[in-house]
Amino acid sequence: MKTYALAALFIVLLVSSGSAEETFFDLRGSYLAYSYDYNQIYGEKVELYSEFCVLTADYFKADIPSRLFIAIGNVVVEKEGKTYRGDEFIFNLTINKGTIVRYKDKVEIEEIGDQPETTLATQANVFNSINFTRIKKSFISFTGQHFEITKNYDVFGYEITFYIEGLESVGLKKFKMSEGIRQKKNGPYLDKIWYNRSQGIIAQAGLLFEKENKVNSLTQIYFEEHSILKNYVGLKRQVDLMTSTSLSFGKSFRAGITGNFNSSKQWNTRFALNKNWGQMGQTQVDFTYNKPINRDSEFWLGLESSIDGGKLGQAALAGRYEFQNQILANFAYSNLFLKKINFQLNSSYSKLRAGDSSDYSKILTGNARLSYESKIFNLATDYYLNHDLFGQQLLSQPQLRFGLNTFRFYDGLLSANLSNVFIYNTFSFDEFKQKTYSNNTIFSLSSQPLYVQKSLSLNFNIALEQFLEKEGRNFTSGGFILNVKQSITKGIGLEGFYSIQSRRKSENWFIEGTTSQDLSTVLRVNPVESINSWVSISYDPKNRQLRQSFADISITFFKTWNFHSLLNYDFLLKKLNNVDLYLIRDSGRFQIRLIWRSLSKQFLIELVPK
Amino acid sequence: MRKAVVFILTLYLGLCAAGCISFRIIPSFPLEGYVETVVLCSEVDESGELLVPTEIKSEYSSGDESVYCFIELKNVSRRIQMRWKWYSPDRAMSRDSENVVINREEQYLETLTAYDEFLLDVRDKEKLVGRWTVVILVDDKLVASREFLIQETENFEKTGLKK
Repeated sequence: MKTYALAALFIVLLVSSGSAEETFFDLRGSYLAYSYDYNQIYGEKVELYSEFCVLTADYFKADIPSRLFIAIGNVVVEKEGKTYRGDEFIFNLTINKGTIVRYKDKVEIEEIGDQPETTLATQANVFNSINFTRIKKSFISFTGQHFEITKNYDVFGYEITFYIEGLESVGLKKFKMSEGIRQKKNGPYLDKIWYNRSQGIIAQAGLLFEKENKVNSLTQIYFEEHSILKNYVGLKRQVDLMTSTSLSFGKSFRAGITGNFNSSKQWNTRFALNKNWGQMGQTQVDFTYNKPINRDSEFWLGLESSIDGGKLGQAALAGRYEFQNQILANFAYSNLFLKKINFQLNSSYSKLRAGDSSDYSKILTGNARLSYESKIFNLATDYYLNHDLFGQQLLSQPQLRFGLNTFRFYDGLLSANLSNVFIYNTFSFDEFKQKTYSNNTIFSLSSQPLYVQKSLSLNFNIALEQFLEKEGRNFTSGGFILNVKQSITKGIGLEGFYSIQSRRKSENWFIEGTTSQDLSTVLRVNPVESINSWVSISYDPKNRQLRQSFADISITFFKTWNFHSLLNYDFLLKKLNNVDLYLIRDSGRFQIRLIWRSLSKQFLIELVPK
Repeated sequence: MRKAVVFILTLYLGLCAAGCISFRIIPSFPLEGYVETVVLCSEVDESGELLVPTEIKSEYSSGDESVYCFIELKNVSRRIQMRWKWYSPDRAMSRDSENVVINREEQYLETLTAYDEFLLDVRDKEKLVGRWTVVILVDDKLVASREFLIQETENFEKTGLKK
C-alpha cells in the first residue's frame, strides 16, 4: 500500500510545481481539508485574509470550479474599517462580491462589494454536497491548518498531510494541491522535453503574442528525434511548425494568416480577410498555397459570402479558383413560404485535376426540395441531379415522400405511423439510358405498456412493409414484437421478449421467403442501490435450440469503487465467448479503470480525466 | 525496473533533502459533531435504530401534508441543543422549534439523527407558494441552511414534479 501511495504521490508531484503565484486569499483554520477529486475545501474555525476583507467563521466551504465560497456560523467580516456580523457569508471570487445573511425574526440580506443589485444568497445550494465525509472519501485529499488560493485558482497547502483513499500518507511542507488554470503568458515557452521508447526524444516549444481584441499570434514547434532509437523504421527526425496570427480592425473586419510546415517537405499557408455585415451576413476572401508531398503545388483564391435576406430567404455562395484551372463552387438557398412551405436549393460544381494527368473531372450536382408539414400529414418532393461532365454520366432522381404524423388513440395507449416514398431514377451514359422506379410503404402500430395486473405489463409493436419496383423484385415483410414485464419483488423483475419477422418475395407466380423467431428472457436483480445485475438467455423456437446468454453484474462497494463484469456464453459453440471485468474508481476529476478482457487477453490500467 | 526504483528513490531523497517532504504528520483534527447530511424529505422512517429520510426532494406542493428537515451528525459525545427555524418566501420566520436537548447522558454517539416537521395544513394555501428556507442551529450556532420550493398543487401536477 505504501508503494502505491508513494507512486501516486510522485505522479502528483511531477505534475505539480510550486511557483510564486499571486495570492488571492490566505486561509487558516483549526482544521482544513482539501479534495483534489472535487477541487473543494472544507474548514472549521477559520480565519481568511484577502484584499477584499478579513473574515472569521465557525465553518467554511469553497467550491473552486464555481468560484464560490461560504462561511457559516458566527461570521464576522471586516472591510474598509467596517465590521459586518451574520450567520452566513457567500462570496464570489470572480466578481469580488459578497452577501451576508442573518437569520433572526426575518431573514436579513446585506450586500458587500460592487454590484449591489445582484445577490449571491440564491447560490448557497452549491455547497449542500460539501462536507467532511465527502472530502475524506476522495481518492486524493489533504488536511492541514494553512491553505492559500492564488489568483489562478491554484490551492497551496502548508504543513499538510497527504491522503490516498482516506489512508494517511506523508507530510508535506508546501504543496500545490490543485491543478489551477494554466495560463500562457506572452513570450516564448517550453511545453515539454520527453523521451519514450516509441518516439525517441520529443520536444515542444512555442511563442505567444496577444494584445486584447487586436492581435493574437501563436507559433508552435514540435520535434521528434528518432536516430537514438534502435530498429526504428522511418525518418531520423521530424519537425512540425505551426503558426497562426489573427488581427482585428474594429468589430467587423478581421485578417488572419496561418501556416504549417512539415520536415517531410509538406507545407501550406493561408491568408484570409473577413468582413461581417452584421445581421445581413458576412464575406470572406482567402488565398491558400498548398504543397503536398510528391505533387505539384496549388494556389487557390477563394470567395465566400452569406446573405440573410429576411423574408427573401437565406443564400450562401462560395467559389474557389486554382491557377491550374481548377474550380470549386457551391450555391445554397433556403426560404419559408406561407409559414409552412419550405424550399431548399443546393448546387455545387467541381473541376479538379485527375491525379498528375492533364485531364479534369467535372461534376455538377444539385438538389431541390419543397416540403409541407401540417398537423395531420407531411409531404415533400425532392429532385436530385448528378452530372459527371467528364464521364458523360447523368443521374436524375425525383422523389415524392408522404407521411401521416403519428396518431394516437385509446387515450394514447396505441400509436400508429404510415409513410410512403416513391423514387424515379433516370440514368444515362452515352447512348445507354435506363429508367427505373420503386415505391416503399411502411406501416407500424405500437402500444404503451398495458398493465394486466399491478406487477405485470406488456407492450407490442407491429410493422408491415411493402416494396414494389419496376424490375419486379417486390417483397412484403412483417414483424411482431411482444415485450412482457413481471415484477417479482422489490428490485427483482423478469422480462420476456418474443419477436417474429417474416419476409416474402413475390416474382410473377413464384413466392419465396424466410421467417425468423427469437425468444429471450431477462432476469433483473437490483435489490439495493449498490447492486445492479441482469442475466439474459435467448432461444430460437423455430429450430428449438438455445442461442446465447449474457450476464452483467455491477456492484458498488467501498466508497465509489465499482466492480463490473460482462459474460457471454454461446450455446451453439458450447463455450464461454468473452469475459470482461472492470474495477472502476470514480474520483470527481478523473477515473481509474482496471480492465481485464479475456477475448484479447489484455489487462489494462487507465487513468481517464473527466 | 531497477532503474525506475533507483530514480524514484533518488527523487524522493532529493525532495526530502530540499525540504519539500517531511515525515512529520500533523494529526487529524478530532471533529466533534460535524454535519454529515442535511436533507428535506416527505417522510422519516423511524422503525430502525437510526432515523432514515425517505422521499428526499426540494420541491413540494401546497397540497402536501408536511416537509421534514432531517440532519445527521457524526462524532457526538456531549449534550447538545438543536433548533430549526423555518422562513417563508417573504423572509419572515414561520416556525421556530425552540431548543431541543439531545444526548443528555453525554454518551459517545458515532451517528446522531434528528428531524423537525413543518406542517403545511394552513388555511391560506396561497401563502405557502414560493421559496422557503430552513436553518439548523446547534448550541445556538448556525450549522446548515437549506432552501425548498412550494408550488400550487395545480401547477405542481402539470409540471410533473410530484414523484
